Amino acid sequence: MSFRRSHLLHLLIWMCIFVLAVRPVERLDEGIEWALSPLRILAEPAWPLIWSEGQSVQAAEAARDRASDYAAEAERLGVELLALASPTRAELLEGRDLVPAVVIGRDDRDSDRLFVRVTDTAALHPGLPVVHGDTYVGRVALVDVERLEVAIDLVTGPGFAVGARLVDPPSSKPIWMAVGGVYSAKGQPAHSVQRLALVVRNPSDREAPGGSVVVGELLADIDPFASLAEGYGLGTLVEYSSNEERSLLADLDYGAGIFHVHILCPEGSRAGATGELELAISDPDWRPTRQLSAGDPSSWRGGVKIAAGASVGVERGAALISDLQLIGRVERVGAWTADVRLLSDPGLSLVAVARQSGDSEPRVLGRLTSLGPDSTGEWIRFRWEAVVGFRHEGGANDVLHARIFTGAGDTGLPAGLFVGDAILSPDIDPVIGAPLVLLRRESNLGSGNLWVRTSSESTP
Amino acid sequence: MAAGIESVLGSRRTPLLSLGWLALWATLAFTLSGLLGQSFGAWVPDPGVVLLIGLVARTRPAGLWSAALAISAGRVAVGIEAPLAVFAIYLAIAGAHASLCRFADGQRAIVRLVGGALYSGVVVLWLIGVHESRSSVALGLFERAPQWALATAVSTAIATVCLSPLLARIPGLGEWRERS
Repeated sequence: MSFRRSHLLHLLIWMCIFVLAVRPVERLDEGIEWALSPLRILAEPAWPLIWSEGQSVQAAEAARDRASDYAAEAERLGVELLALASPTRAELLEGRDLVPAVVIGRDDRDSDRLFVRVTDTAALHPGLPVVHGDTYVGRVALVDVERLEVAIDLVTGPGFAVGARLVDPPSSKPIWMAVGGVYSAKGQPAHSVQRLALVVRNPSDREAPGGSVVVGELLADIDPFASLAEGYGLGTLVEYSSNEERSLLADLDYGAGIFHVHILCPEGSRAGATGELELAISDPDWRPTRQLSAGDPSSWRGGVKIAAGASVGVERGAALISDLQLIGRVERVGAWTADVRLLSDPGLSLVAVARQSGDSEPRVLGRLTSLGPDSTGEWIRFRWEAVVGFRHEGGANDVLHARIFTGAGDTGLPAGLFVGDAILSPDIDPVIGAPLVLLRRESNLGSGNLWVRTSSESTP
Repeated sequence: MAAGIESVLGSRRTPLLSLGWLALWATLAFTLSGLLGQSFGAWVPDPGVVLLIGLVARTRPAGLWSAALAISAGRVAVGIEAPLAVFAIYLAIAGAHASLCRFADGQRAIVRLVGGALYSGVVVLWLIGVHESRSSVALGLFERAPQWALATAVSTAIATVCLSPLLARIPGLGEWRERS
């Protein structure tokens, strides 16, 4: 009897483990990672196997030279991306002051809330409009004066609404509407690659023609900052169709294409403000570390264990770099160890920008998801999630050569880190059903110069 | 309470020190496997299955459960797979093989050969399945999963048979040799 009872107990325990492996509970996963963190002492004796992978002195010197090049390029990239996020039309600058901000992350529980860092908060208040270039992004929700951080509610939030008007084609009678939230058409495939659409509510003319829509508040007195956002673009109103709700094709990839923004303030409110946005790669939130494993025992995975964990401020999503080149991102964090997914690990994702060869202007790529190495092993395939705003002048099947850098917006992954040289193919790949980015595979592990991003402070 | 712990660990005849040694050697073997995997891909044997079927099951089937825990700990120490997925699969192998040993002699080479191939293939498919199910985007791993599983199955089957007599001579694994 007791024999059967113990077997039943084993079976029940195993079934719980089985179910939780397939349907993970995040808190439990974190707890297990913490509980298993002392297993690090088992991995330590394997150091001779890992050490044998180390690089030569010449290679280390070459890596240092490369790192210096990457730092210079990252600095230039940061300036250029900020410039790309600045309004261009004179009428959109008139009567306003701009506070530049760099995106540092998103709310884990609300992806429609963005966190940005600014150089000063003196002129900032909840409700101020936020823009990217000539496009409206959302409103300031919270200002953290001590940490110089600001939370922004994006126009994609389900409860968000901003007044708007149709400006093109011009009409004798103004057409007003409210815009906010993400529109999803019925029967839309889950992983289709398409432009994001915003919900249009209460249009003054339900059968208005399609065209350009900008911010415009009919009742401007309700919102003291409404006039500041006046004229900033929202997108293109989709042509009227009798059996569908009206929607607006967005001009921005709000999910992964915003790296810098500007907060609009009344003119003169920023008098005396100073300071420049610092590059994250030169801040002190980096910590040297070393690998505890040479690679994952599953040959189709790309990952290593590192000797740094939550006890030194490592968080999920943190970047691991070697000589200023991105190696991977932290997947799970224990007390003294962390699991890092390398770029070659299927499922790793990051936001990215590209600089094409011979092109001075960086291009926002948005989110890339790794599909692992290709059959030759020389390239890592990345699924290119959304080709919003990417200007591809080439013909069909054309490929573009570019250098890839990280963008901003993913927690723990600062902008400007060099990812690698790549080939971009903006046409949809028939096998994966999305455009493809092929990243040249490089292995910087074993160089001994690994740094992991730590969090000295959390988001507001 | 102590009896309960011993029950979970398999049997009161398995000293914790032996399990510690097993976990340590499993960790080193998994580290080596990760290193070799960069050159040989899926053709690297699964050290967990080799140790479990080639060593423990051959010499002491009653210790399979506790050995599965120790080997899983070794893999979790150096790997990035979800820990629960690793524990689930090696415990499942222990359970399946313990059942098999009631009908077949675990010391026979053919049982180790078939067990090594079957279990290692299942480990590959299981871990791919877990990884895909946890991903928000379809990663397309299932297309290549059969060929990876087959390669690992072949190499593990060979390793399980060929290395089996040598494993018990590794320092620290004497506990398993004494009873072989």
